[in-house]
Amino acid sequence: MTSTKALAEHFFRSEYAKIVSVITRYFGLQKMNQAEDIVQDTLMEAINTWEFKGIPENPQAWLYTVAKNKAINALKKNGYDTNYRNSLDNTSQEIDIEFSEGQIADDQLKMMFVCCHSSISQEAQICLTLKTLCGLSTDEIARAFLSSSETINKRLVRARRALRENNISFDFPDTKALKERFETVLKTIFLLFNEGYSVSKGEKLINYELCLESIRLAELLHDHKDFQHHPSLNGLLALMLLNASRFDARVDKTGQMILLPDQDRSLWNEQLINRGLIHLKELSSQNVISTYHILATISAYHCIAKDYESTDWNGILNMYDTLIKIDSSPLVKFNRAIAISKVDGAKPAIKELLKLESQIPTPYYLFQSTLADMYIKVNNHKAALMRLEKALPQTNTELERKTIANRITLCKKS
Amino acid sequence: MKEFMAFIYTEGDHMTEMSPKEQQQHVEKVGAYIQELVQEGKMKGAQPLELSGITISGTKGNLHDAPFNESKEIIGGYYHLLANDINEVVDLIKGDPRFEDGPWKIEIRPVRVVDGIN
Repeated sequence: MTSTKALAEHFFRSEYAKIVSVITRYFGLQKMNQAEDIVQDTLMEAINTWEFKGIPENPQAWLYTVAKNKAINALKKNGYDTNYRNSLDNTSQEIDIEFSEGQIADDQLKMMFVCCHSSISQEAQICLTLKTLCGLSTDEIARAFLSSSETINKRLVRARRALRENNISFDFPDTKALKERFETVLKTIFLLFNEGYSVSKGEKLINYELCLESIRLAELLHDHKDFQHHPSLNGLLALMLLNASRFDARVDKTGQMILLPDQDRSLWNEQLINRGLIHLKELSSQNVISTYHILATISAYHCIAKDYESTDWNGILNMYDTLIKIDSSPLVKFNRAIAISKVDGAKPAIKELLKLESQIPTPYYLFQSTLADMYIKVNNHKAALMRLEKALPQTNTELERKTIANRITLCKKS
Repeated sequence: MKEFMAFIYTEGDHMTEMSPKEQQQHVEKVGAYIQELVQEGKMKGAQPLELSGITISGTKGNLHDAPFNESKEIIGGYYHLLANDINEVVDLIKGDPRFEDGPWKIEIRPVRVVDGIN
């Protein structure tokens, strides 16, 4: 009666996403809701059957058959979607829904371009991507963003409306538009990754899943022959993999952030590091440089260093010198100043940081405490103390506050 | 050993509100629960039921068939169980992990036997 077959991890989630993409092609983006309902119904039917009878021999084929039947029935009821009919040469042709591996991959890519369409706000792009391409529920998205289900739902409704009203097509854009939209897709994936990577927001488990989902989406792109050697894509993949490798080491047991110099490097995920380095290697044969590539290279210098002090700071400073030409934001300048302190010493670094101070948009305790570090290195304890006292009220967590308070005490003694 | 039927009523549509991930966890744990009871020889059968069907009513010569399309309380499946007494079944049913995922109603009915004759 029951089989002992087990489902692959995230089976329901990833199948949900695959089937939505495939079916939407037949329903058109106008009726995307209907496509999503059909997939939801399909999963419900699977639950109601499988919980009693066990997992079938080929659960994937089971879902595709049920989804296909439901979709065909609904399409017939719709009187055949006009868009679809117009696209066929022979209108009397019976509908058949294809679920081949190639078709699924293709439709998921198309869906990615749809979800990242510029007619949708950035935050709604992320929500729609998570819902449609990652199979997350509004509740799960809300938990990841420390937001409410209602807010997320509203964003999804608005996003779908924008797709309808702007008559967005499910097909790949033409070559010229493709190039531009490809960069938007990468940007959305990177934002999604950063949502997951930020320590301060959401639950740890779901956050890590966001990181892995972003990597998975980028890998879907990478699987496509047209995008495989795309420099920005390889740079982004390398960056996400290398950064994700440090995920577990960045937070202590109480959920407090641990900064790079203090991380236990044995907790870094070697498998992810190696996968990241492979993408970097792929880039080394190309002459194009992207922000992702530079950031990934910096991340790689950290990943391969035995400890913080023996990091190749010369290499890192070189990268920041290149990066600052593309992106001269305060954060880049701040990180460059740290690299300067490692290569040329604290004095020039202090100079850079003081130049930067007025550009820091919001009070940032790490800026003040880093500056204090530099002053201590040049034996200017008075200036260091002043900086630490500025940093104290800017801390966000108890641990940060304690760390700074301890250093103030130490500083007063010397 | 005595025989029991347990009718599982679905209450509301809380299952559709779960995420695919939670739905998968539901299938896996309920499946494992049933499988364990089968292995222990306590579960003779477990079947899901379609939510619609046909009702036949009346007397011979005057029978009506009407679609069965109850929308509120509806039996979504049943367990056929073997146990020493109803208390044992109550404990088994209370251990059904489906209750972790929202409200359910399960009705336990002993298969009737008359002492001394059956």
